[in-house]
Amino acid sequence: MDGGSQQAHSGSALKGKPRALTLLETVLATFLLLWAILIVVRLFHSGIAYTSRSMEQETAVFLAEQQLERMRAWSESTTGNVYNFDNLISIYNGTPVAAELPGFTITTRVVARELYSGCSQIELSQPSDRRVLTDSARTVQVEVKWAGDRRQVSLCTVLARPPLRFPDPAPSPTLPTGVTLSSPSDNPVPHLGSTSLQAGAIDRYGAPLRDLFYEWELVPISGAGTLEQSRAGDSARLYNWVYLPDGSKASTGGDVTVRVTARYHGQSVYQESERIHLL
Amino acid sequence: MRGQPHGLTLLEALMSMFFVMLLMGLFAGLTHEFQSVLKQSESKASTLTTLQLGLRRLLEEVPQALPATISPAPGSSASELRLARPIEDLGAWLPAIAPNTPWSPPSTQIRVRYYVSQGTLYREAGSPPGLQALSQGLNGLTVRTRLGAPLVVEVQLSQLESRRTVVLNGVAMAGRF
Repeated sequence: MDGGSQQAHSGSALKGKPRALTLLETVLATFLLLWAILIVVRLFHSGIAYTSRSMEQETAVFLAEQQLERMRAWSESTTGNVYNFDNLISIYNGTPVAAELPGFTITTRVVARELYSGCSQIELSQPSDRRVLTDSARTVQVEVKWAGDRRQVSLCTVLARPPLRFPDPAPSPTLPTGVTLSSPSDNPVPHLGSTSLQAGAIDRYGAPLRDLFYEWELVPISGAGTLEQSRAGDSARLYNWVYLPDGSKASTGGDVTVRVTARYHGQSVYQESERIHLL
Repeated sequence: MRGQPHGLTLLEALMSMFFVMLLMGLFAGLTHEFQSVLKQSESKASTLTTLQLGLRRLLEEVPQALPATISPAPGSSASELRLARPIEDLGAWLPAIAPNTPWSPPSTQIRVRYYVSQGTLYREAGSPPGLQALSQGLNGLTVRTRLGAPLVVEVQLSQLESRRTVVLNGVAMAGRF
């Protein structure tokens, strides 16, 4: 009963005369307040940092895109009679260069890219004899770094060789069409023997035109033979025989020529060999 | 103590005030720093956004242009870009049937001009010309076309940001037809 009255008395005293904060309570409250404020400030700082990072990333992408565009434009032009595309690998060799905006560096790497013709799925099934385009495309990687190389953006693309041109029609006897054909290794061709021929092509500057596929055909004059071309068509072998209906071989003798045709960017060009004598 | 709670003594009050003042000082410093960083960051972001937006808009139009209509002429530079282009983007132009003759660009064309006036990059197009403000706060536009093929247009935009001039370059290739 006494305890209860004391409590009631004490409660009424507190209610009537509220207690002030002690020093410890004040300091603690202040530090709690500071802690809360610091958290808010840090959140704002993080917000700014992320906004800034996002902006820098966007800028880095822009710089990378522009670098790719510059390279694309450069690779499609020529310096004198030299195609800049041929020098992509040596020029863009992975050396970092400062970008136009301070704090950003650009590193560009170019590597040769093999493409299969006409379809990767088909060519992959023939590992020993693929039709490969080795000189028609380059893989380009542009890397933009900033913030002391701690952050980076990387863009990758494939640059294609710009279309080249065959020599203009008949500029000289040595450059009649753009397709070149070697002399047969053996002419005349021995009885039931064979001879080989190689085909190539040159552009209007006389530079070799790679990655072309050729079709060969035999043009009989006073004889006939059998012609077998490689899958890519850059070489062929002429056999001095024809197959008879019973499967046996026979030599006809006489003369033939060989014609090789290439098609490039919608233009067909051909070359015919010298007269080949079959014994 | 319980029976008779007391308020702060003078010493306690002074110490409390000292702490409070100290915290306020720290907070004021942080706020000031925060504002300064925010201002700097906003200024930088604004500059880069302005330059990139303007440059992107301009460069995207070059591949749509008829190469012969691009001014400045190959090998020269100017402070504005003029070109003529089909009204519709070439990418959207798809023939319903295969054309019998070699493709030529649509004949309905508009003339477009990009220039900077009083710090604003404008795109003026059509007849009568419609004016569109693209970016503000710029202080320079330089357009240069390279000699040779393909026709390459180089564009440089600059902007004054606090005490330095930020320059951004871009290139675009004109279409080939």
